[in-house]
Amino acid sequence: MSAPTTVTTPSIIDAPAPPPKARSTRIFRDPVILGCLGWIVFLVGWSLSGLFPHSPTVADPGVLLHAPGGGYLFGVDQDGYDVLSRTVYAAKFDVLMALSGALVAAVTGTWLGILMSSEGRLSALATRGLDVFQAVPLLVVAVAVIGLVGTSRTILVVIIAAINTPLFIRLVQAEARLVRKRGYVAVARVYGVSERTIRWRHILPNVTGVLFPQFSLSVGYAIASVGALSFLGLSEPGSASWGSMIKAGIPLLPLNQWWMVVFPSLALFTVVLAFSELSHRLQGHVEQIRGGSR
Amino acid sequence: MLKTLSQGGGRAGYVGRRLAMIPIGVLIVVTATFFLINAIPSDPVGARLGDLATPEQIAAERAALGLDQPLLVRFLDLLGGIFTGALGTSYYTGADVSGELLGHVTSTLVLVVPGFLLAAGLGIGLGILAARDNLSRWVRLIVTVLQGLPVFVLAVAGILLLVVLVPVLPSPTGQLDANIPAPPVRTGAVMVDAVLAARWDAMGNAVAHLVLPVLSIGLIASVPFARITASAMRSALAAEFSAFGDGNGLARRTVVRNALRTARPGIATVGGIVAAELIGGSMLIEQVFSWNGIGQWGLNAITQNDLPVVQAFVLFAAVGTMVIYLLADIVAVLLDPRTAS
Repeated sequence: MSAPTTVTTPSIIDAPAPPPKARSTRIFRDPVILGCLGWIVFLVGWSLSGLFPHSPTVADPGVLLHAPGGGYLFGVDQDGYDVLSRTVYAAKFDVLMALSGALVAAVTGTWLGILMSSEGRLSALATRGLDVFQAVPLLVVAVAVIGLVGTSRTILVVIIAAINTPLFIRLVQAEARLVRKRGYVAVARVYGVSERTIRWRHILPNVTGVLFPQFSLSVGYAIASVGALSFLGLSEPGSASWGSMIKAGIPLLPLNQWWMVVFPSLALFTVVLAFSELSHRLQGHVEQIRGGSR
Repeated sequence: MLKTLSQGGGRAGYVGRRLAMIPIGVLIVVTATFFLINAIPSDPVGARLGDLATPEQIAAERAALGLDQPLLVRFLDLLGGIFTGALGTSYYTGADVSGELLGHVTSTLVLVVPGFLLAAGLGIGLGILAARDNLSRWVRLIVTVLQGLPVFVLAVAGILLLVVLVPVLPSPTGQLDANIPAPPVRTGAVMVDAVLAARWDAMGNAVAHLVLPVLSIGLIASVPFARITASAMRSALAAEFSAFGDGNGLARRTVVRNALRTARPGIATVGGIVAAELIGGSMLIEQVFSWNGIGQWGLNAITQNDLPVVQAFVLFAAVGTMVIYLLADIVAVLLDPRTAS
């Protein structure tokens, strides 16, 4: 931590980047980052592996509402699904939906953010338009759209992307405006480099650093959104998700049958927490790198 | 003195300009909502009649619902209806939609308003505590945990703790226990109705039903308040005027109170964002507690393809959001005129 970072001589032409090796080892030595990543990879990996103690998709009506224990570590729900298998199985749907939505948002947001970083009437207008768009109650609109059209994975991804894209646009726009003020952009302009090249060759590589914390945060936020939408009964019918498991289990809570709700809730909570903590830590590292390179 | 006066005029002008924008904003929102709801491929007639309906039946039903009219005529109908306060009739219950909307709004407000106030109090308190070095770690821990917690998961944890494990609260469904006769309906919110009918037994029970949803909303929504207060306090306490105050031997309390004053415009802005999010977020809480507020009403209408109700619901949420943001902006400007530019 306190080891002096190599101070690169500020060069005018090249982006002042620290040695990439130092950056990655420092990030991968952070125990919190490793813990968060490890938990996410473990859960999604297990979900993708298909190795469950019981089938997550074939119900066994013989053991309805079996309490935790006796071969069913997390119990059995009211349809006869093993709660452990189904909770792990649901990670695939919840996390991968959120990841794809956040990825679409990151790409679209970065592209638009760089375009909107230039001075001019058009980008001022686009920024104003973004203000209006962000004033839309997106959860309500999303629920209405999904409820009326019927749900599908594509619509879920589009909605998650729509919720998160403005965040990326604002972030990248602000960052790109800073980059535009740097010497090498001015020099490139003097050399007659086109605006297009400046955007994608000079600005883009220098705004990617701030994307990672926001991406992690967005994925966590998106997992909570997927959870909320499926909790409202708007996830793909038949597919297991934490939100729909919690929804199905709530009526049984007052009867002391708590396991159908507790385990998916824990999964949802820990994964969202892992992503947001990951984001927080990455933010710290990014700031450190930027501070060291200035 | 002269300067303050002219500033006051500027503020009034700003507020007036912003208020004058409301009708234009409402018009945009109404247009967008109408075309969104009607452009979405939905099948309200099929949902009502089922698969066995003959084409004649379908045509008759479409005519009865007014769906055979051109889109523009239906749009003008809606615009006219908004001026007279009529938002059509529900496809399902045949009831007047604006009446139903008002009947459900109070139930939601009974949850959301105390939840918001709790969130503001709790969040600002946490933010002030975070400025103390010995407490900042704990505040950060609380904020981190609450931030990762979806509101319905917190509500479930609350039910588990306060209804199942330590049964101090009534069963978490609805606004009143089933065995207590409901007070006559006036506003739709049982607690308010109980007060109006002076039914104190029902009121006590209704308040007990309110505890968990309000607590869930308050805890989750306190996070943004805590964050903005903490960051504003941190920079204000590091600023020169705080050092000057300390150096002049002002009580720590006073220095902290002065620092808090600088946090107010930010808190107002965040308050607007939180309040706007509660309009959609109350849907989740209402779903957990089977609370027949505006969210449940809208959600039911959506699953039934009851277009006039869906339209009213989205319209309410959009106009509500717009008005809330506007009020938050105005409050922020009244607190700090520099934000107006």
